[in-house]
Amino acid sequence: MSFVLAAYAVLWLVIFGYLVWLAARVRSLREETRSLAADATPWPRSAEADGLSLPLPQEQAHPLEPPIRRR
Amino acid sequence: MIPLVIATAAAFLVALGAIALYAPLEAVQGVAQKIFYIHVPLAWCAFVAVGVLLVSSLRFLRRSEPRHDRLARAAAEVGIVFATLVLVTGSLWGKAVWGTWWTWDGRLTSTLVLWFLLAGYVLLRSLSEGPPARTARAAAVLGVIAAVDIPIIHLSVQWWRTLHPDPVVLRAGDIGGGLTPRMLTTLSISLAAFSLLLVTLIALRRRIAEAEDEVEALWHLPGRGDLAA
Repeated sequence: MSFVLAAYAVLWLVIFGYLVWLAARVRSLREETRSLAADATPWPRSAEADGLSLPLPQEQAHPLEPPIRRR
Repeated sequence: MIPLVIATAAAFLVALGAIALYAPLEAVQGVAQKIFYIHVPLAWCAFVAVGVLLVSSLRFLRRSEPRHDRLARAAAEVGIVFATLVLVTGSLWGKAVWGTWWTWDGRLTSTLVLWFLLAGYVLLRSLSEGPPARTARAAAVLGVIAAVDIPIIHLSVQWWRTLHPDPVVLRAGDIGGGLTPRMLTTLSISLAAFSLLLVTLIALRRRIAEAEDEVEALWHLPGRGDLAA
């Protein structure tokens, strides 16, 4: 019986481990996409593009201000 | 995707119940034989994943469409997960029944060769720094080579002297004839559950591959290099 339980335990450990790895990959891809999309948005851009809920202060949103370097 | 995940979870609960409560104890091996209901569906899923890898790789080599490459990538990665589990559960069953974790016989060795081929595919995709299109073509060729191992694995028990038993389900002229009706029913339920898991994992991994390609495209947008520099 212990071998059957071991087989089941290994099975689910590997499957859940793989699912956790996939979830981590999705998360990192989402962050990377958000960051790259924000950089690709033409300047001046809205606060929403930077993932902010409030508008940027006037002096930071000046059209001549260079884009924020993210990487 | 959510309905697929729920269906998979439900199918596994039913399969677990059938394995524990419905399937009869085998006369010689006793309870250790119940690994059969996990091991065989895992092998089936590994073979199907490699089949998907084969078809997608051939389509990609012919038409160079990224969607075929994405499906091949997903199938190879999920395939190696199942191939790993086939080897581990087979090893556990071998220890319980044969008294050894591993033996270099035809079936086990050809399955290990498949594992290495799939590992090579995954490593090629993740470590290659060459042009993506060239990496994809090289990987597609490797995917086709990996698929050649499937008939070798299946026929290995007939070609070579081996500890591994002959097929009890896919026998010429007698499909499923090596099992009692309750064993066959339990195996069918388990096969359905594992097949749903395979579909779910490949679908999920393919979506991730799409996102990976989108990120790759964003990196190569015009002017992107100026910002990153």
